[in-house]
Amino acid sequence: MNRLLRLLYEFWFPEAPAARLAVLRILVGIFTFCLVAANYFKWVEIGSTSPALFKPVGVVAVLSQPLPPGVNQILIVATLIANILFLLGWRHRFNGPAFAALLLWIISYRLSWSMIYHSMHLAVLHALVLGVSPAADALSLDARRRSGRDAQQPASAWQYGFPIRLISAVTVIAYFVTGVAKVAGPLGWSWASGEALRSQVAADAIRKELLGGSGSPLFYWLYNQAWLFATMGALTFAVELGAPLALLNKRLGRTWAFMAFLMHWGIVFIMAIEFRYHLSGIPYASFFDVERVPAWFKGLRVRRTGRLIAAQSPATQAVKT
Amino acid sequence: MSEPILGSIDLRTSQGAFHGSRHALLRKGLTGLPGFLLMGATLAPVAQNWNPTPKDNFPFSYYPMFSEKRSDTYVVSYLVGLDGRGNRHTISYSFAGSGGLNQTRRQINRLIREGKADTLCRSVASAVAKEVATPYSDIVTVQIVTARFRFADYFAGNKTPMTEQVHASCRIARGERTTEVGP
Repeated sequence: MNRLLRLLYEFWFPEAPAARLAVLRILVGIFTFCLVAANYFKWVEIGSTSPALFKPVGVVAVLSQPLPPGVNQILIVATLIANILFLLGWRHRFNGPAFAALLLWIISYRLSWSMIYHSMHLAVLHALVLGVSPAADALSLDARRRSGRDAQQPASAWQYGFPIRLISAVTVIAYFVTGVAKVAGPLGWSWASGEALRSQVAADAIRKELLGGSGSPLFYWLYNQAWLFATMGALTFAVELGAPLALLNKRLGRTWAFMAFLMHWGIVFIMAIEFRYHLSGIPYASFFDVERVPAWFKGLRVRRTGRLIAAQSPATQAVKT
Repeated sequence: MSEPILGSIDLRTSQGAFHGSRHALLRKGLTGLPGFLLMGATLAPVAQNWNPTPKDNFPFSYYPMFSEKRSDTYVVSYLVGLDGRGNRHTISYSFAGSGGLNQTRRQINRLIREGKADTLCRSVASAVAKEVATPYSDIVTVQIVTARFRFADYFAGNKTPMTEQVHASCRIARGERTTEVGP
Protein backbone atom coordinates (compact mmCIF):
# COMPACT_ATOMS: atom_id res chain seq x y z
CA MET A 1 0.00 0.00 0.00
CA ASN A 2 2.81 2.34 0.99
CA ARG A 3 4.61 1.47 -2.20
CA LEU A 4 1.53 2.30 -4.24
CA LEU A 5 1.07 5.62 -2.46
CA ARG A 6 4.74 6.43 -2.93
CA LEU A 7 4.43 5.69 -6.63
CA LEU A 8 1.36 7.89 -6.88
CA TYR A 9 3.13 10.72 -5.07
CA GLU A 10 6.17 10.40 -7.24
CA PHE A 11 3.96 10.31 -10.32
CA TRP A 12 1.90 13.40 -9.52
CA PHE A 13 4.60 15.43 -7.78
CA PRO A 14 7.76 14.87 -9.82
CA GLU A 15 10.56 17.36 -9.51
CA ALA A 16 11.05 19.67 -12.45
CA PRO A 17 13.12 22.80 -13.07
CA ALA A 18 11.46 26.20 -12.66
CA ALA A 19 12.56 27.08 -16.20
CA ARG A 20 10.43 24.29 -17.71
CA LEU A 21 7.24 25.68 -16.18
CA ALA A 22 8.38 29.19 -17.12
CA VAL A 23 8.83 28.21 -20.78
CA LEU A 24 5.30 26.79 -20.76
CA ARG A 25 4.08 30.13 -19.34
CA ILE A 26 5.84 31.98 -22.15
CA LEU A 27 4.56 29.66 -24.88
CA VAL A 28 0.96 29.73 -23.67
CA GLY A 29 1.25 33.49 -23.08
CA ILE A 30 2.45 34.09 -26.64
CA PHE A 31 -0.38 31.99 -28.04
CA THR A 32 -3.14 33.61 -25.98
CA PHE A 33 -1.82 37.08 -26.78
CA CYS A 34 -1.84 36.32 -30.52
CA LEU A 35 -5.31 34.79 -30.19
CA VAL A 36 -6.84 37.76 -28.38
CA ALA A 37 -4.97 40.42 -30.38
CA ALA A 38 -5.75 38.82 -33.75
CA ASN A 39 -9.44 38.53 -32.86
CA TYR A 40 -9.68 41.87 -31.05
CA PHE A 41 -11.98 43.63 -33.54
CA LYS A 42 -14.07 40.50 -34.14
CA TRP A 43 -14.61 39.87 -30.43
CA VAL A 44 -15.42 43.52 -29.78
CA GLU A 45 -17.97 43.37 -32.62
CA ILE A 46 -19.47 40.15 -31.27
CA GLY A 47 -20.29 42.11 -28.11
CA SER A 48 -22.73 44.16 -30.21
CA THR A 49 -24.62 41.10 -31.53
CA SER A 50 -28.38 41.05 -30.99
CA PRO A 51 -29.19 40.13 -27.36
CA ALA A 52 -31.74 37.67 -28.81
CA LEU A 53 -28.82 35.44 -29.86
CA PHE A 54 -27.14 35.55 -26.43
CA LYS A 55 -26.79 32.05 -24.99
CA PRO A 56 -24.33 32.32 -22.09
CA VAL A 57 -21.90 29.48 -21.40
CA GLY A 58 -19.44 28.74 -18.59
CA VAL A 59 -18.77 31.56 -16.16
CA VAL A 60 -20.80 33.95 -18.32
CA ALA A 61 -23.92 31.98 -17.31
CA VAL A 62 -24.14 34.36 -14.34
CA LEU A 63 -25.44 36.95 -16.84
CA SER A 64 -29.04 36.92 -18.05
CA GLN A 65 -28.38 39.74 -20.53
CA PRO A 66 -25.24 40.62 -22.50
CA LEU A 67 -22.86 43.21 -21.09
CA PRO A 68 -22.83 46.70 -22.58
CA PRO A 69 -20.44 46.47 -25.59
CA GLY A 70 -18.10 49.03 -23.98
CA VAL A 71 -17.61 46.82 -20.91
CA ASN A 72 -16.83 43.83 -23.13
CA GLN A 73 -14.23 45.93 -24.95
CA ILE A 74 -12.64 47.10 -21.67
CA LEU A 75 -12.39 43.49 -20.49
CA ILE A 76 -10.69 42.45 -23.74
CA VAL A 77 -8.18 45.31 -23.42
CA ALA A 78 -7.58 44.40 -19.76
CA THR A 79 -6.94 40.79 -20.82
CA LEU A 80 -4.37 41.92 -23.38
CA ILE A 81 -2.55 44.02 -20.77
CA ALA A 82 -2.65 41.20 -18.20
CA ASN A 83 -1.46 38.82 -20.94
CA ILE A 84 1.65 40.92 -21.58
CA LEU A 85 2.41 40.99 -17.84
CA PHE A 86 1.80 37.23 -17.65
CA LEU A 87 4.23 36.75 -20.52
CA LEU A 88 6.83 38.92 -18.83
CA GLY A 89 6.20 37.31 -15.45
CA TRP A 90 5.55 40.55 -13.60
CA ARG A 91 3.86 40.28 -10.17
CA HIS A 92 2.75 36.83 -11.22
CA ARG A 93 1.27 35.99 -7.83
CA PHE A 94 -1.47 38.56 -8.48
CA ASN A 95 -1.38 39.01 -12.23
CA GLY A 96 -1.31 35.27 -13.05
CA PRO A 97 -4.73 34.47 -11.53
CA ALA A 98 -6.14 37.79 -12.79
CA PHE A 99 -5.02 37.05 -16.34
CA ALA A 100 -6.37 33.49 -16.22
CA ALA A 101 -9.74 34.73 -14.91
CA LEU A 102 -9.96 37.48 -17.55
CA LEU A 103 -9.07 35.08 -20.35
CA LEU A 104 -11.67 32.58 -19.12
CA TRP A 105 -14.27 35.34 -19.05
CA ILE A 106 -13.64 36.90 -22.46
CA ILE A 107 -13.45 33.57 -24.28
CA SER A 108 -16.59 32.30 -22.50
CA TYR A 109 -18.28 35.54 -23.55
CA ARG A 110 -17.07 35.16 -27.13
CA LEU A 111 -18.58 31.64 -27.19
CA SER A 112 -21.90 32.76 -25.68
CA TRP A 113 -23.59 33.50 -28.99
CA SER A 114 -25.13 30.17 -30.08
CA MET A 115 -21.95 28.20 -30.87
CA ILE A 116 -19.18 26.71 -28.76
CA TYR A 117 -15.95 26.28 -30.70
CA HIS A 118 -13.80 23.51 -29.27
CA SER A 119 -10.43 24.90 -30.26
CA MET A 120 -9.91 27.17 -27.25
CA HIS A 121 -10.75 24.92 -24.31
CA LEU A 122 -7.24 23.60 -23.75
CA ALA A 123 -5.56 26.98 -24.09
CA VAL A 124 -7.78 28.37 -21.34
CA LEU A 125 -7.33 25.33 -19.09
CA HIS A 126 -3.56 25.58 -19.49
CA ALA A 127 -3.62 29.32 -18.77
CA LEU A 128 -5.66 28.61 -15.62
CA VAL A 129 -3.06 26.11 -14.37
CA LEU A 130 -0.14 28.40 -15.21
CA GLY A 131 -1.88 31.45 -13.75
CA VAL A 132 -2.14 29.92 -10.30
CA SER A 133 1.20 28.09 -10.26
CA PRO A 134 4.71 29.46 -9.62
CA ALA A 135 5.29 29.77 -13.36
CA ALA A 136 7.26 33.00 -13.06
CA ASP A 137 9.98 31.79 -10.70
CA ALA A 138 12.34 31.74 -13.70
CA LEU A 139 12.65 33.60 -17.02
CA SER A 140 10.59 36.50 -15.70
CA LEU A 141 10.76 40.02 -14.33
CA ASP A 142 9.84 38.56 -10.94
CA ALA A 143 12.88 36.25 -11.11
CA ARG A 144 15.14 39.12 -12.19
CA ARG A 145 13.94 41.30 -9.33
CA ARG A 146 14.44 38.45 -6.86
CA SER A 147 17.90 37.57 -8.14
CA GLY A 148 18.91 41.16 -7.37
CA ARG A 149 18.38 40.39 -3.69
CA ASP A 150 19.24 36.71 -3.74
CA ALA A 151 21.35 35.33 -6.54
CA GLN A 152 20.26 31.73 -5.84
CA GLN A 153 18.35 30.17 -8.74
CA PRO A 154 15.22 28.21 -7.84
CA ALA A 155 16.00 24.52 -7.53
CA SER A 156 14.09 21.75 -9.24
CA ALA A 157 11.01 21.11 -7.15
CA TRP A 158 7.64 19.40 -7.11
CA GLN A 159 5.99 22.84 -7.10
CA TYR A 160 7.07 23.10 -10.75
CA GLY A 161 6.60 19.44 -11.57
CA PHE A 162 2.99 19.18 -10.41
CA PRO A 163 1.58 21.95 -12.65
CA ILE A 164 3.44 20.47 -15.62
CA ARG A 165 2.00 17.05 -14.86
CA LEU A 166 -1.42 18.66 -14.43
CA ILE A 167 -1.21 20.38 -17.82
CA SER A 168 -0.33 17.04 -19.44
CA ALA A 169 -3.15 15.30 -17.56
CA VAL A 170 -5.76 17.89 -18.52
CA THR A 171 -4.62 17.62 -22.15
CA VAL A 172 -4.92 13.85 -22.32
CA ILE A 173 -8.23 13.83 -20.41
CA ALA A 174 -9.70 16.27 -22.96
CA TYR A 175 -8.62 13.97 -25.81
CA PHE A 176 -9.98 10.94 -23.98
CA VAL A 177 -13.36 12.65 -23.42
CA THR A 178 -13.46 13.45 -27.15
CA GLY A 179 -12.86 9.78 -27.95
CA VAL A 180 -15.53 8.61 -25.51
CA ALA A 181 -18.07 10.96 -27.17
CA LYS A 182 -17.49 9.10 -30.44
CA VAL A 183 -17.80 5.63 -28.92
CA ALA A 184 -20.84 6.61 -26.84
CA GLY A 185 -22.46 8.31 -29.84
CA PRO A 186 -24.97 6.62 -32.14
CA LEU A 187 -22.20 5.06 -34.25
CA GLY A 188 -20.30 3.44 -31.39
CA TRP A 189 -17.09 1.66 -32.34
CA SER A 190 -18.11 1.69 -36.01
CA TRP A 191 -17.06 5.34 -35.99
CA ALA A 192 -13.55 3.99 -36.57
CA SER A 193 -14.58 2.73 -40.03
CA GLY A 194 -14.10 6.29 -41.26
CA GLU A 195 -17.52 6.59 -42.92
CA ALA A 196 -18.81 8.97 -40.24
CA LEU A 197 -15.67 11.04 -40.48
CA ARG A 198 -16.08 11.28 -44.25
CA SER A 199 -19.69 12.43 -43.88
CA GLN A 200 -18.70 15.01 -41.26
CA VAL A 201 -15.96 16.36 -43.46
CA ALA A 202 -18.31 16.36 -46.47
CA ALA A 203 -20.94 18.32 -44.51
CA ASP A 204 -18.28 20.76 -43.39
CA ALA A 205 -17.03 21.22 -46.95
CA ILE A 206 -20.56 21.85 -48.29
CA ARG A 207 -21.42 24.46 -45.67
CA LYS A 208 -18.11 26.22 -46.16
CA GLU A 209 -18.72 26.39 -49.88
CA LEU A 210 -22.31 27.60 -49.56
CA LEU A 211 -21.66 30.07 -46.77
CA GLY A 212 -18.63 31.62 -48.39
CA GLY A 213 -15.94 30.11 -46.19
CA SER A 214 -12.74 28.54 -47.43
CA GLY A 215 -12.83 24.77 -47.67
CA SER A 216 -10.08 22.32 -48.54
CA PRO A 217 -9.66 22.09 -52.33
CA LEU A 218 -8.28 18.58 -51.77
CA PHE A 219 -11.59 17.29 -50.54
CA TYR A 220 -13.24 16.77 -53.94
CA TRP A 221 -10.52 14.26 -54.74
CA LEU A 222 -10.33 12.83 -51.24
CA TYR A 223 -14.06 12.12 -50.95
CA ASN A 224 -13.76 8.91 -52.93
CA GLN A 225 -10.68 7.66 -51.07
CA ALA A 226 -12.57 5.64 -48.45
CA TRP A 227 -9.36 3.94 -47.26
CA LEU A 228 -7.96 7.29 -46.18
CA PHE A 229 -10.94 8.00 -43.93
CA ALA A 230 -10.78 4.48 -42.50
CA THR A 231 -7.09 5.03 -41.64
CA MET A 232 -7.84 8.44 -40.16
CA GLY A 233 -10.76 7.04 -38.16
CA ALA A 234 -8.59 4.31 -36.63
CA LEU A 235 -5.74 6.74 -35.92
CA THR A 236 -8.13 9.23 -34.33
CA PHE A 237 -9.43 6.54 -32.00
CA ALA A 238 -5.88 5.52 -31.12
CA VAL A 239 -4.86 9.11 -30.33
CA GLU A 240 -8.02 9.98 -28.39
CA LEU A 241 -8.81 6.81 -26.47
CA GLY A 242 -5.14 5.99 -25.99
CA ALA A 243 -4.35 9.47 -24.68
CA PRO A 244 -4.18 8.50 -20.96
CA LEU A 245 -1.30 6.13 -21.79
CA ALA A 246 0.76 9.23 -22.57
CA LEU A 247 1.07 9.84 -18.83
CA LEU A 248 2.70 6.48 -18.15
CA ASN A 249 6.21 7.37 -19.23
CA LYS A 250 8.21 9.97 -21.12
CA ARG A 251 8.62 8.00 -24.32
CA LEU A 252 4.92 7.17 -24.59
CA GLY A 253 4.07 10.78 -23.78
CA ARG A 254 6.29 12.13 -26.53
CA THR A 255 5.11 9.57 -29.07
CA TRP A 256 1.49 10.42 -28.28
CA ALA A 257 2.21 14.16 -28.44
CA PHE A 258 3.80 13.74 -31.86
CA MET A 259 0.85 11.68 -33.15
CA ALA A 260 -1.72 14.14 -31.82
CA PHE A 261 0.20 17.02 -33.40
CA LEU A 262 0.31 15.22 -36.76
CA MET A 263 -3.39 14.37 -36.50
CA HIS A 264 -4.28 18.06 -36.25
CA TRP A 265 -2.12 18.91 -39.25
CA GLY A 266 -3.84 16.10 -41.16
CA ILE A 267 -7.20 17.62 -40.22
CA VAL A 268 -6.09 20.96 -41.69
CA PHE A 269 -5.02 19.45 -44.99
CA ILE A 270 -8.08 17.28 -45.41
CA MET A 271 -10.83 19.23 -43.69
CA ALA A 272 -9.44 22.79 -43.59
CA ILE A 273 -10.43 22.91 -39.91
CA GLU A 274 -7.80 24.78 -37.92
CA PHE A 275 -7.32 24.06 -34.25
CA ARG A 276 -4.66 26.74 -34.00
CA TYR A 277 -3.53 25.99 -30.45
CA HIS A 278 -3.03 22.34 -31.32
CA LEU A 279 -1.36 23.18 -34.63
CA SER A 280 1.15 25.35 -32.77
CA GLY A 281 2.28 22.28 -30.81
CA ILE A 282 2.08 24.22 -27.52
CA PRO A 283 -0.47 21.88 -25.84
CA TYR A 284 2.10 19.09 -26.12
CA ALA A 285 5.10 21.08 -24.87
CA SER A 286 4.56 19.79 -21.31
CA PHE A 287 5.72 16.36 -22.49
CA PHE A 288 9.17 17.70 -23.41
CA ASP A 289 12.17 19.24 -21.63
CA VAL A 290 11.34 22.64 -23.06
CA GLU A 291 13.73 24.45 -20.70
CA ARG A 292 16.49 23.31 -23.06
CA VAL A 293 15.27 25.75 -25.70
CA PRO A 294 16.25 28.98 -23.87
CA ALA A 295 19.44 27.26 -22.65
CA TRP A 296 20.29 26.38 -26.26
CA PHE A 297 19.66 29.97 -27.39
CA LYS A 298 21.81 31.26 -24.53
CA GLY A 299 24.61 28.86 -25.52
CA LEU A 300 24.33 29.98 -29.13
CA ARG A 301 24.62 33.63 -28.10
CA VAL A 302 27.67 32.87 -25.94
CA ARG A 303 29.34 30.98 -28.80
CA ARG A 304 28.62 33.81 -31.25
CA THR A 305 29.94 36.43 -28.82
CA GLY A 306 33.03 34.27 -28.25
CA ARG A 307 33.67 34.03 -32.01
CA LEU A 308 33.20 37.80 -32.39
CA ILE A 309 35.68 38.56 -29.60
CA ALA A 310 38.18 36.09 -31.07
CA ALA A 311 37.82 37.68 -34.52
CA GLN A 312 38.51 41.15 -33.11
CA SER A 313 41.42 40.16 -30.82
CA PRO A 314 44.90 41.63 -31.63
CA ALA A 315 46.31 38.14 -32.22
CA THR A 316 43.71 37.42 -34.92
CA GLN A 317 44.25 40.83 -36.49
CA ALA A 318 48.02 40.14 -36.60
CA VAL A 319 47.49 36.81 -38.33
CA LYS A 320 45.24 38.52 -40.91
CA THR A 321 47.86 41.16 -41.68
CA MET B 1 5.79 0.08 10.02
CA SER B 2 8.33 1.25 7.48
CA GLU B 3 9.59 4.80 7.02
CA PRO B 4 7.05 7.58 6.29
CA ILE B 5 5.77 7.53 2.71
CA LEU B 6 7.43 10.76 1.81
CA GLY B 7 10.38 10.32 4.11
CA SER B 8 12.93 9.84 1.37
CA ILE B 9 11.43 12.21 -1.18
CA ASP B 10 13.38 15.40 -1.60
CA LEU B 11 10.95 18.21 -0.83
CA ARG B 12 11.82 21.81 -1.49
CA THR B 13 9.82 24.97 -1.80
CA SER B 14 10.35 27.34 -4.66
CA GLN B 15 12.86 29.17 -2.46
CA GLY B 16 14.90 26.04 -2.01
CA ALA B 17 14.37 25.59 1.73
CA PHE B 18 13.81 22.11 3.13
CA HIS B 19 10.65 21.30 5.01
CA GLY B 20 9.61 18.38 7.13
CA SER B 21 7.61 15.60 5.47
CA ARG B 22 4.35 16.35 7.34
CA HIS B 23 4.41 19.99 6.32
CA ALA B 24 5.36 18.99 2.79
CA LEU B 25 2.53 16.45 2.69
CA LEU B 26 0.07 19.16 3.70
CA ARG B 27 1.44 21.52 1.07
CA LYS B 28 1.20 18.87 -1.60
CA GLY B 29 -2.33 18.13 -0.51
CA LEU B 30 -3.33 21.80 -0.65
CA THR B 31 -1.63 22.22 -4.02
CA GLY B 32 -2.90 18.95 -5.40
CA LEU B 33 -6.55 19.27 -4.39
CA PRO B 34 -7.50 22.08 -6.84
CA GLY B 35 -5.46 20.29 -9.49
CA PHE B 36 -7.33 17.03 -9.00
CA LEU B 37 -10.62 18.95 -8.98
CA LEU B 38 -9.63 20.48 -12.31
CA MET B 39 -8.94 17.03 -13.72
CA GLY B 40 -12.29 15.82 -12.39
CA ALA B 41 -14.05 18.80 -13.95
CA THR B 42 -12.36 18.09 -17.29
CA LEU B 43 -13.48 14.45 -17.14
CA ALA B 44 -16.98 15.02 -15.72
CA PRO B 45 -18.66 16.21 -18.97
CA VAL B 46 -18.22 12.68 -20.31
CA ALA B 47 -21.50 11.92 -18.49
CA GLN B 48 -23.32 14.17 -21.00
CA ASN B 49 -22.98 11.37 -23.55
CA TRP B 50 -25.64 9.42 -21.66
CA ASN B 51 -27.84 12.43 -20.95
CA PRO B 52 -31.03 12.51 -23.10
CA THR B 53 -30.53 16.26 -23.59
CA PRO B 54 -26.75 16.71 -23.50
CA LYS B 55 -25.44 20.21 -22.86
CA ASP B 56 -22.06 21.39 -24.00
CA ASN B 57 -20.10 23.97 -22.03
CA PHE B 58 -16.86 25.90 -21.71
CA PRO B 59 -14.11 25.31 -20.67
CA PHE B 60 -15.35 21.86 -19.69
CA SER B 61 -16.83 20.11 -22.68
CA TYR B 62 -17.84 16.63 -23.73
CA TYR B 63 -16.45 17.48 -27.18
CA PRO B 64 -19.36 16.22 -29.27
CA MET B 65 -17.87 17.37 -32.58
CA PHE B 66 -17.71 14.65 -35.24
CA SER B 67 -19.60 12.12 -33.09
CA GLU B 68 -22.95 12.69 -34.82
CA LYS B 69 -24.46 10.05 -37.12
CA ARG B 70 -25.16 11.41 -40.58
CA SER B 71 -27.15 10.02 -43.46
CA ASP B 72 -25.98 10.26 -47.08
CA THR B 73 -27.66 13.66 -47.38
CA TYR B 74 -27.06 16.99 -45.68
CA VAL B 75 -29.41 19.89 -44.92
CA VAL B 76 -27.93 23.37 -44.76
CA SER B 77 -29.34 26.90 -44.52
CA TYR B 78 -27.53 29.70 -46.29
CA LEU B 79 -27.79 33.03 -48.07
CA VAL B 80 -28.26 33.28 -51.83
CA GLY B 81 -27.94 36.34 -54.04
CA LEU B 82 -29.70 36.60 -57.41
CA ASP B 83 -28.51 39.03 -60.07
CA GLY B 84 -30.67 40.70 -62.72
CA ARG B 85 -30.47 37.63 -64.98
CA GLY B 86 -31.45 35.25 -62.21
CA ASN B 87 -27.93 33.85 -61.74
CA ARG B 88 -27.17 32.63 -58.22
CA HIS B 89 -24.26 33.98 -56.19
CA THR B 90 -22.88 32.91 -52.83
CA ILE B 91 -23.32 35.54 -50.14
CA SER B 92 -20.73 35.28 -47.39
CA TYR B 93 -21.91 34.38 -43.89
CA SER B 94 -20.12 37.54 -42.72
CA PHE B 95 -23.11 39.58 -43.96
CA ALA B 96 -25.26 37.77 -41.39
CA GLY B 97 -23.01 37.78 -38.34
CA SER B 98 -19.56 38.49 -36.97
CA GLY B 99 -18.77 35.37 -34.96
CA GLY B 100 -17.16 33.13 -37.58
CA LEU B 101 -18.73 30.72 -40.06
CA ASN B 102 -20.09 28.06 -37.72
CA GLN B 103 -21.43 30.47 -35.14
CA THR B 104 -23.17 32.53 -37.82
CA ARG B 105 -24.54 29.35 -39.41
CA ARG B 106 -26.09 28.40 -36.07
CA GLN B 107 -27.49 31.90 -35.69
CA ILE B 108 -29.05 31.67 -39.18
CA ASN B 109 -30.62 28.29 -38.25
CA ARG B 110 -31.94 29.75 -35.02
CA LEU B 111 -33.48 32.79 -36.72
CA ILE B 112 -35.17 30.55 -39.32
CA ARG B 113 -36.45 28.27 -36.55
CA GLU B 114 -37.86 31.25 -34.67
CA GLY B 115 -39.60 32.59 -37.78
CA LYS B 116 -37.27 35.57 -38.12
CA ALA B 117 -35.89 34.80 -41.59
CA ASP B 118 -37.43 38.00 -42.99
CA THR B 119 -35.59 40.13 -40.41
CA LEU B 120 -32.34 38.38 -41.29
CA CYS B 121 -33.05 38.81 -45.01
CA ARG B 122 -33.57 42.58 -44.68
CA SER B 123 -30.44 42.92 -42.57
CA VAL B 124 -28.32 41.00 -45.12
CA ALA B 125 -29.89 42.89 -48.05
CA SER B 126 -29.09 46.27 -46.55
CA ALA B 127 -25.49 45.17 -45.91
CA VAL B 128 -25.13 43.82 -49.47
CA ALA B 129 -26.57 47.06 -50.86
CA LYS B 130 -23.55 48.94 -49.50
CA GLU B 131 -21.08 46.72 -51.39
CA VAL B 132 -19.57 48.14 -54.55
CA ALA B 133 -17.48 45.15 -55.61
CA THR B 134 -18.74 42.29 -57.79
CA PRO B 135 -20.55 39.96 -57.43
CA TYR B 136 -22.33 41.81 -54.62
CA SER B 137 -22.89 44.95 -56.71
CA ASP B 138 -24.82 42.85 -59.27
CA ILE B 139 -27.10 41.20 -56.75
CA VAL B 140 -30.68 42.45 -56.82
CA THR B 141 -32.37 39.90 -54.57
CA VAL B 142 -31.27 38.18 -51.36
CA GLN B 143 -32.81 34.87 -50.30
CA ILE B 144 -32.58 32.87 -47.11
CA VAL B 145 -32.80 29.22 -48.13
CA THR B 146 -32.57 25.73 -46.69
CA ALA B 147 -31.50 22.97 -49.07
CA ARG B 148 -30.83 19.25 -48.93
CA PHE B 149 -27.86 17.82 -50.85
CA ARG B 150 -26.75 14.27 -51.51
CA PHE B 151 -23.05 13.94 -50.67
CA ALA B 152 -22.22 11.56 -53.52
CA ASP B 153 -23.88 13.82 -56.11
CA TYR B 154 -22.38 17.00 -54.72
CA PHE B 155 -18.81 15.74 -54.75
CA ALA B 156 -19.31 14.21 -58.18
CA GLY B 157 -20.01 17.72 -59.44
CA ASN B 158 -23.83 17.86 -59.32
CA LYS B 159 -24.46 20.73 -56.92
CA THR B 160 -28.19 21.00 -57.55
CA PRO B 161 -30.01 20.50 -54.26
CA MET B 162 -32.49 17.63 -53.93
CA THR B 163 -34.93 20.02 -52.25
CA GLU B 164 -34.80 23.73 -51.54
CA GLN B 165 -37.02 25.94 -49.41
CA VAL B 166 -36.89 29.73 -49.62
CA HIS B 167 -37.73 31.19 -46.20
CA ALA B 168 -37.45 34.85 -47.14
CA SER B 169 -36.64 36.93 -50.21
CA CYS B 170 -35.71 40.63 -50.23
CA ARG B 171 -35.12 42.92 -53.18
CA ILE B 172 -32.13 45.22 -52.91
CA ALA B 173 -32.97 48.77 -53.83
CA ARG B 174 -29.64 50.58 -53.84
CA GLY B 175 -30.01 54.08 -52.47
CA GLU B 176 -33.55 53.24 -51.38
CA ARG B 177 -35.05 51.20 -48.59
CA THR B 178 -34.73 47.37 -48.92
CA THR B 179 -38.08 45.75 -49.59
CA GLU B 180 -39.23 42.30 -48.61
CA VAL B 181 -40.72 40.30 -51.47
CA GLY B 182 -41.78 37.28 -49.46
CA PRO B 183 -40.64 33.65 -49.58
